Amino acid sequence: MRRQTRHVQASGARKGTRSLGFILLVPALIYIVVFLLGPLCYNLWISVSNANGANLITGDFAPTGFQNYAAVIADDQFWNGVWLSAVFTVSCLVLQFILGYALALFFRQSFPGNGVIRALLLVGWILPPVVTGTIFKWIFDSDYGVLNFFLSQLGLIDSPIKWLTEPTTAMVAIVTANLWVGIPFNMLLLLSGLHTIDESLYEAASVDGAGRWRQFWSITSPLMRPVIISVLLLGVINTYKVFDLIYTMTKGGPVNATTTLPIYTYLETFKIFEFGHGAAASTLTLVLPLVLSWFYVRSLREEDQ
Amino acid sequence: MMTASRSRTVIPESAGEKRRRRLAWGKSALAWLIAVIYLFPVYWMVTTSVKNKAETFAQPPHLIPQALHWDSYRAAFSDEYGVWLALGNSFIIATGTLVLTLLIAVPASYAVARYRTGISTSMMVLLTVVQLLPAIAVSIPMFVMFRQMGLINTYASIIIADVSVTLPFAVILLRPYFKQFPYEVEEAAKLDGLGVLQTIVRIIIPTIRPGVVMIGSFSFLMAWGEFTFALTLSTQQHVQPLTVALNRLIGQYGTNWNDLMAVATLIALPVLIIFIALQRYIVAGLAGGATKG
Repeated sequence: MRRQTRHVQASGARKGTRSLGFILLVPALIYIVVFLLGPLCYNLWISVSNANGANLITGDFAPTGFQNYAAVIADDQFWNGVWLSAVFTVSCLVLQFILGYALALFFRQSFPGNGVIRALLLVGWILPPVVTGTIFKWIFDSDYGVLNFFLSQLGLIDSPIKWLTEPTTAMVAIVTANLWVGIPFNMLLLLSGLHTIDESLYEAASVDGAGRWRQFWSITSPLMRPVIISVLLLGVINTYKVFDLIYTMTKGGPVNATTTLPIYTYLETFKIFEFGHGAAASTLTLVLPLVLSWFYVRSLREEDQ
Repeated sequence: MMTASRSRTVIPESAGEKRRRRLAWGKSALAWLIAVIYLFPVYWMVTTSVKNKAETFAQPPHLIPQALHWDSYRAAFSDEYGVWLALGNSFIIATGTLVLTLLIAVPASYAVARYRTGISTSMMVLLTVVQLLPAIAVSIPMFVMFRQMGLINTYASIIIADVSVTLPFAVILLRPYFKQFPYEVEEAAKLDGLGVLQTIVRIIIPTIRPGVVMIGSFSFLMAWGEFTFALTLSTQQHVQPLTVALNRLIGQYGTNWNDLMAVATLIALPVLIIFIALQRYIVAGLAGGATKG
C-alpha cells in the first residue's frame, strides 16, 4: 500500500493530473469551508457578542468582549457540568475498556458460533442512541421497569430503586446505557488489534514454557500498546461528547444531576436562548476534544510512517 | 490489512483432542449466554411493543408476552402520533445524506489517496479532527447560520449537518480502498485511451464497490438514527425525523411504554435489517478503518 503511494507520487507529478486531483477535492473543500470551518469561526464571533433569541435573525450583534466567557465561568452549573462530564467519561472509559478487552481476548479464541455471536454483540453499537436511551429509560423505570424486578428476584433489593429520579442512580443508569454502546466498540477495535499479532510468537513462547499469563504480559500487552492508546483516546472523545443518549434518558435531570457539558451547552442555548453564553460554553466544550485530537492525529501519523 | 489470519487458541501439548473439543463447546455456551444477556434490551423493546397496556404494566412483568397485540402499532400509526410523517422525513433525510455524502466523498477519497499534496494532507487532518467534535458544539453555529439563511425547518439544513458526521467517516474509510487499487491498472487504462475521470467511473468504482456499499449504508444508517442536529435544526413537526418524533412522544405520552417501544422498534428495524444484510462489509470496514486515519 505504502509502496504504491510513493510510486504514484513519482509518476503522477504531471501538472494535468495534479489539477484533476484538486478538482476532485473541490466539493469536499467547499463543504468543509462553508459548512464546518465557517460556522466554527462564526461560533467564536458569537461567543464574544451579545447574540440572543431576539437579535439572532438580523445578525445584529455587538461585540461584548469576554463577558460571555466570564458569565459561563462564573456559573456554578458550568462547573457542575465539567464535574459530571468527568465522572461520566471516566466511569464509562474504565469499565468499557476492561469489559471490552476481556471480551476481545475471549472472542479471539476459536469456538463454534464465534463469528455470529460477535456480530450480534455489535447490535448495541449500531442502534441509534435515541432508541437505546428509550429502551434503557423503560428498563430503569422505577415502578414497572424490568431491572428492579430482576434485582428484587435475585434478592438484591427490598424496595424498588428510583433509578432516574435520584441523582446518583441516574448517573449509574446513563453510564450503564452508554456501556452497552461502548463495550462492543472497544471489543471490535481491540479484537482487530489482537488479530494482527503473529500467532507464531505464542507458539514459540509456549514451546519455551511460558504460561498464559506470562504470554499475555510479555507478548500481548506490549504489542497491543498502540492500539490500546488509540482506543482509549477515541473512548474519551466519544464518551465526552455523548448528548443524545443522556438527553433521551434524563434531559439532564433530576435537578441537573446528569447535566454533562454537552447537555449544559444545549440547555443554555436552545432553552434559555442565550446564544452568546451557549457559544462560549460550546467553545470551552471544544477544548478537550481539540487537545486530544492533536494527540490522536499525531499517533495516526506515527502509525503511517 | 483486514485479512489478518484468525488466530487459534493455544492449548498445552498434553491436552487431548476430546478435551479440546469439549472446551470449545463450553466457550461457545458461555458466548451464547453473554449474547443473550447483552441482547436482552432489544428483546425487551420488541416484546413490549407487542403487548397491550394491561400486559405492559403487569406485575410481575411478563418476560414472555402471553399474546401478540398490535394495539401499540395501531396507535403509533394513528394521526395523533404522526409517525407516518416522521417515517417519510427520516427516509428523505437519510437518502439525501447518502447521496450528498457519496457525491462529495468518493472524488475526495480518490484525491487524498492518489495525490499527496498540502491540501489533501491537511484535509485528512481536518476531517479526523471534525470527526471528534461534539455534535452539539457544531450545531449551535449551524443553527445561527441556517437561521439567517432561512433554512431552519428544511430537509436541506438537516442533511447538510448530517454530512458533517458522515463525510469524515466516508473519506477515512474509502481512502484505503482507493490506495489498495493497483496503480498499474489505472495506467493501463490510460494507455487504452481512457481519461482519468472515465477510469475512476468505469474501472475503479466498480472494483471498490464493497467500500462504496459500506460508506453508503453507513451514511444512511447514521442519518437515520441521527438526533442532535435534527433536534436543534427543526422546530416544526413537518420536517422532523423519527428520532425527534420519538423524543417528542416520550414527552407527550411518557408512560405509554408499549407505544413508545413500537416507535423505537420502527426506528431500529431498518437499522437491524441493513446491518444484518451488509454485516460483512460494515464490520470489515470498521475493523480496518476505525483505528486508521
